[in-house]
Amino acid sequence: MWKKIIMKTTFVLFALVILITPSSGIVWTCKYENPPYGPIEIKYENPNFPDKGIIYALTPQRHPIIVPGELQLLQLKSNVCEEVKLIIEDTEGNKIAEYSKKADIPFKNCDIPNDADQGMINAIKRSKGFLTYLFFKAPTEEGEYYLKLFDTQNNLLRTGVIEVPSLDSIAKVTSREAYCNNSPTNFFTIELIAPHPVIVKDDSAGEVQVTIREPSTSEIEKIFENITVSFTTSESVGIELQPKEGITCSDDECTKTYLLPSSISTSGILTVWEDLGNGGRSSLNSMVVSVVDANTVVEISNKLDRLYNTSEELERRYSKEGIKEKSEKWGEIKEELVKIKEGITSIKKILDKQKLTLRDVKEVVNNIDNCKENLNRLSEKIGGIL
Amino acid sequence: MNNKVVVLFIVVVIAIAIFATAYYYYESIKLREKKLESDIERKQINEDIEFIKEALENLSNAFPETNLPS
Repeated sequence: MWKKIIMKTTFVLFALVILITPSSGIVWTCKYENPPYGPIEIKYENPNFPDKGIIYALTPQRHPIIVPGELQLLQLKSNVCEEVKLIIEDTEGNKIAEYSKKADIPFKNCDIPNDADQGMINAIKRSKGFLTYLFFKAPTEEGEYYLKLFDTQNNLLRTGVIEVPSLDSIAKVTSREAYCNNSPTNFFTIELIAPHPVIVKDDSAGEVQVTIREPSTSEIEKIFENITVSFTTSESVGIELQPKEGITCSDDECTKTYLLPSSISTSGILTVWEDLGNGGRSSLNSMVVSVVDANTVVEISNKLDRLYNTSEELERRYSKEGIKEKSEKWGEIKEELVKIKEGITSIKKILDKQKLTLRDVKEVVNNIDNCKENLNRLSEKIGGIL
Repeated sequence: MNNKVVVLFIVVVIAIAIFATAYYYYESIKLREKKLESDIERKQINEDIEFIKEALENLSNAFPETNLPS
């Protein structure tokens, strides 16, 4: 009896070791963090409706992280084309907001064409199903919130949980992945940390960090030797980031800083790669980051100063010649320029800070939007008199 | 009859004179305005506006509006 048990256990253990031993490289995935949905954790799925209102992804808009009061995109898929209701509740069950949306794909607002037969509908169900893009605003107060999805008959389909950070928290993006190394008990985590946004100033590149946690720091150094970090945007194939000198270690973790240069403001994907040899590599961790070129803000500021001086000069000249109408118009243009200048000065001040809070980042984005609106108005005014 | 023709002639001459004076005055203002805004200034204003527009658009790219899957 005992002999049988021991033999069976040995066999199972042996099979497990075979299954999880990596064939090449130093790592293999034992991921237990970062669900594929984005920053949402699924808490409940109604077993009676396994194919309705499936949470496919949550994508924060304009930022790579959930920012209080900012737009979020919840992607849902379903085997039925119908309206889905989203109720946002706090942990005490108070309703914060309610949204409703009909599926968008393949038929906008579920307007199924008359010539669509059952065969077509079944083919849609078999492939991607009916997709719904539900935009909602994240609650403005810090805390944990439930996202509850209901169908048209008010059946609770799914519950997800999101964490809304405080506006005063430091704006940063992090992504952590866990891996096993040689033995299943020997876990290490690889964490990507970047400020939000990564700021590039003058000639100095932005900085992002990779932190590796593992019981043995000598192992960590070996892992660092074997990894590279890249940044890819929709416009570029990807640049390899150069590491800054030295690694900082404390207890069981070490951090290495990488330099992210950019001559433009953009959004892209930061990836940590494991070198597999023979030119091969595999992704260990990745995340979306925003990069802001602070030099652009300085250039805008200089151009605004020049425009202000020119409009002031033209206002003076017209006033002197007694051409009141044009003098007044250049005066109005000057006022508009002051508004834009105030917005740009505020952005510049914020970007000069060492660490930005989420409130700062929101202000930067709001100021960019306002400056764009004011500039369009100004452009129309100038076009009317030039 | 002759008097009427003379009056009509005078009226027409005065009208032409008024029109010519107004036109001359209008053209001279335009000319003066043109002198007040040089071509270089106008070009520079347009270039600066275009530059700021593009730069603001560039800054916005760091915070993309929507991220719908393709």
